[in-house]
Amino acid sequence: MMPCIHCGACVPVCPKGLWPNQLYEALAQGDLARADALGLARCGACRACQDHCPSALPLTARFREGQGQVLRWTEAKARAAEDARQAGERYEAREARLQAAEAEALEAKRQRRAEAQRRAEARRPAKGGTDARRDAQRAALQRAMEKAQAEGREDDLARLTAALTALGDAS
Amino acid sequence: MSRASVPKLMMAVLLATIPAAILRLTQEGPALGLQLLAGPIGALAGEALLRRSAGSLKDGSALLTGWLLALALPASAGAALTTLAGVLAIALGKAPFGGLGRNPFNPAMVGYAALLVLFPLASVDGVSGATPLAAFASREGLTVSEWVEAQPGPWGTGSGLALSLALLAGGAGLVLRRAIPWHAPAGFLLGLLGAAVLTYDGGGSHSAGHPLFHLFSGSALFAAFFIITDPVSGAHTPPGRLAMGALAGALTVFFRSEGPFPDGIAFAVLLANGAGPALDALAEGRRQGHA
Ligand code: SF4
Ligand code: SF4
Repeated sequence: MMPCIHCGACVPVCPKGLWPNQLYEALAQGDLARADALGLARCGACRACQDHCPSALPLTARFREGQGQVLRWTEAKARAAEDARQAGERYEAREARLQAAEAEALEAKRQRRAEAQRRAEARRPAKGGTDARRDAQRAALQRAMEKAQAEGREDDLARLTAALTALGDAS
Repeated sequence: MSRASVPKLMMAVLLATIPAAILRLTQEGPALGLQLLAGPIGALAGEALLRRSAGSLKDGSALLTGWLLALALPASAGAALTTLAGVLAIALGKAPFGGLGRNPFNPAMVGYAALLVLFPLASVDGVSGATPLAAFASREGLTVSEWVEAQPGPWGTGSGLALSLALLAGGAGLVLRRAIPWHAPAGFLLGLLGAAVLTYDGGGSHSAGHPLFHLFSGSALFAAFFIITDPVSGAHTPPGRLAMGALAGALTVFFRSEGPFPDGIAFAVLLANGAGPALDALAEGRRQGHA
């Protein structure tokens, strides 16, 4: 079988105004997008091109076959587009979910913080408790000082006096 | 009508050049006859050495390539150089690309250009005296590898005109019988005419020549109907062929007046061939846009 010599004999005889030589080349290269763009779908398989081809190429059969290929290809393309669309939707839903969870966590944290603050406020009067502890310490120190004085432990007494002063200064 | 075949198509094109070949033979003598045999012999030898498939000697394409090449060369090229050009046409222009149906450039013009590059002075002897094209193109002493040398007038009378008419008749016959598409010849002649009109300054000393001189020169008609029409090389869509032809025609005018070679047709055709795929892609894209 001879190759296509692009003599162009097939072009003016095509009732659909197609370019059979370019169609044949596109299909031979497996370029279904180009075959589709060249109007392969409009080929009526009338054999006019084939009858005028000096290379006796099986144009019509190839175009029939190509139409099936392009059909499957466009279907696959549409399926792939649909799949991509669904995947996109899933992704967006997941993103939204994650964002909502994050916002929720933030809100919970904020609330916990507010709660802790409220509790701290409530504990504020316990400042008096601190004073009470200091008074108790002071009383204990004084008791210890009296004891030290009674037993005549001069250096202990001096240390305890300093501690008592320090406690007094701090308050 | 019997069924079309590649060899028949090649023979139809070859037969269409026979009147012009006979005219040249009667004007230029038997040496040209040897050359017209040498071209096909060289091309067929190249094909036999480098062919990819067993049947490719018989498809007529190498024979036609060699014949057109021999016709395009001036008689001064001689049989030996024409044989070499025939071999080179196949070896450089066809075989490396995978043989028939695949060569992007016109093999005959590849052989022609190869000869011009290898033997730039090969055609010096053949042209004596001022000829219209030599006056325009051969400023550096290079000569015109044209076959309109015999033309005495600016657009050809006598033998030059007869040759042009023979080529026009043969080529137009091919187009009318739809053996070859009309797009490339129409584009070529329109591009040639357009560029010639644009560059014509009324016949001043720097003129590129009267437009009609360009249009009816034998080499222009030969290129329009038998060279740019090579179906395999260059563009393959109708709009692509129209544009490729126009480009080659315009470049022919440009190279005739500006180029370093006496006859830029070979280079104009090769350049236009090179633009063919891009022109086809454009054409297909535009079609797609309209569909
Ligand atoms: S007729 Fe056949 S060889 Fe010629 S261009 Fe059409 S397909 Fe190619
Ligand atoms: S078979 Fe298809 S491409 Fe060929 S001529 Fe008929 S419609 Fe056109």
